[in-house]
Amino acid sequence: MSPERRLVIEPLTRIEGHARITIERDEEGKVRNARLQVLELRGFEQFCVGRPFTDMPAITARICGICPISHQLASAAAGDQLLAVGCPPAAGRLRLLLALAQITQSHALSFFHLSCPDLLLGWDTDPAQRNLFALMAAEPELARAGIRLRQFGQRAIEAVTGQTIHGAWAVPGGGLSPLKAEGLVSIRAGLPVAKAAARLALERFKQLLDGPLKQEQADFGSFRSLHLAQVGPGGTWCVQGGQLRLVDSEGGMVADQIDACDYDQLLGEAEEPWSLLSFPYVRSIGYPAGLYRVGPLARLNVCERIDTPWASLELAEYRQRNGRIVNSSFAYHQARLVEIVACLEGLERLLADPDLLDPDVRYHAHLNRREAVGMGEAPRGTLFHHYRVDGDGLIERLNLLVATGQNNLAMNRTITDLARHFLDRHQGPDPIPEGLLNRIEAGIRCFDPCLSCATHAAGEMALHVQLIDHDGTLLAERTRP
Amino acid sequence: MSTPSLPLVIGIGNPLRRDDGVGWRLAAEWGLLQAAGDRAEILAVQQLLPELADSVARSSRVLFIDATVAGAVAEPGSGPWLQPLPISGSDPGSLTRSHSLDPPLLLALASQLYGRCPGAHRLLLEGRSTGHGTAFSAAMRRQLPAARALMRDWLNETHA
Repeated sequence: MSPERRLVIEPLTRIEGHARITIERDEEGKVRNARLQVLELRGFEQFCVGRPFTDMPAITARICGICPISHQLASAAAGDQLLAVGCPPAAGRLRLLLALAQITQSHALSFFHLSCPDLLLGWDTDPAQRNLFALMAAEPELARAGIRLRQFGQRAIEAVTGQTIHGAWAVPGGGLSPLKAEGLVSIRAGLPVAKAAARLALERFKQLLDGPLKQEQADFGSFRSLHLAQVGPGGTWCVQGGQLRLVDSEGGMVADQIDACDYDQLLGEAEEPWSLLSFPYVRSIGYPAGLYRVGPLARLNVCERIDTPWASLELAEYRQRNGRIVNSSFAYHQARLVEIVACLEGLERLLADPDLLDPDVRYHAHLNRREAVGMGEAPRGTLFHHYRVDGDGLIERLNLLVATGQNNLAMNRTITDLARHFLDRHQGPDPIPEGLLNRIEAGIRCFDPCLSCATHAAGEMALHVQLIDHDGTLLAERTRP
Repeated sequence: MSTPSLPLVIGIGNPLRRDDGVGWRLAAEWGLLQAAGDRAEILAVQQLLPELADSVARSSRVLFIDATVAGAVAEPGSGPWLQPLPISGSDPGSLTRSHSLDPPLLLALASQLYGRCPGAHRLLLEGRSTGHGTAFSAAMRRQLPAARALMRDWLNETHA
């Protein structure tokens, strides 16, 4: 392979994990496909074997520093089922509080810190000038709003677990300690500022959608796919304790009221030799046609309504702008903002519940089942923890199906579309123009992937793009640290 | 923004990686013992995050406590070291990741976002072992009394 014909783009910045993107051309020089290759492994499914299931919430929370709460809650939910006792009502409310706070702070990170430099400064800006510092200079109030929202979510988590990150609180049967009155007061005190920050972000983003981003929302990673998420009673938006619903790209119901324990009848996991990230798909449709999306976009597609007033209005406007079923990956950004509002209102409602401070937060029991699936909506989408244990409660088999993995096919489809759109029209001397690189990064960022969760990989995601000819020749490559 | 108030102590590290966790442990220890009384805000963190810029900007001065590798700042075996921390030299362009700030970048962030950057010091202890575990190396343990004394001096503003 001649090195002068190699093209690599690396690293992909402002996302979590490390990956490489390979773009393959056909005989006519047109883009055949683009692949997001994830090449690192941490192996939680292996080294957790033999550990007590009661340790799993604390261990699996260490998969990720962004969404440890989501892993902890899914793991504890699986543990509840192994004990066959559920958890006390107050613990259920506190778990929901944690889930809502987690989504708030994670979405704020994704929108304000990771994506706003693209959205506000433009994809054709020099990457050195397209970062959080430049954003702060250009839009300081928006940058401060992002920080306030992150702080709010983290402090709410700290009020329950004692720590902002990796607070070990959820356990099989409930939680370790009740919420203290001062913790409730502290969260409640932060709500007005958090809501003001969300309002500012929504107003600014809608201005962009009506202006410079008008075209992007229509054709940026827009393709037909299925959408999977939990829904609550009556099809309401829900992040904890719901049932699975799968709809097609037109909103047709493919599956509904599916219990978490049946997830592996609904979903399969394919593998490809070029990536350590698996390729989940809908079994009834097959691989790879059974491509589906999870996360904010899917949650707003599958739900009938959000049952809080402001979020309900925002959902109506979102659907007015984008349609009832939204297939553009770019809409993930607005969906995240709508969900932040839903989370803040959900938290406000929870804080008004006098039973939130109930001291009874844990049931104790022996092992009563040998297999269980815990499910929850993590910021990036539906998360499954599937455990099988022996008679002593030691893990025999562990399967973690995380949101980023479930979006793997969709991410590959998105970057393929973007590569075809921008590279096939490109005439300049640079085989991988900066604008293409930036848009591929942005295409991946729509999904807010966490490759540390998905492959349990170490490190931050760096972009490494290779352009490969039809005969396997590496035409060019670029990397970005 | 409200008037700058208390000094801020930020201990950084992973308490499950032996010497790497010394900053976190010293800050947590101070917080638990209330050694600083109500004269300082104490934070024990595993990493510096952008949202800490708000706390930094509101503080009267900042002390970062962290482990460092031998020879990185001074002669091995001569730690701990209390050093003034300038914000110059931070590279805003390097802020491409969400959770890998260093103290100069955090100070620059506070300055840019909130228009205020307090004076800052860093207290560095020489780490010899960052393997899994919670026990400090012997070399780290030897530095702890001096580090605690430097923390008190910094709080009392009696450091050199």
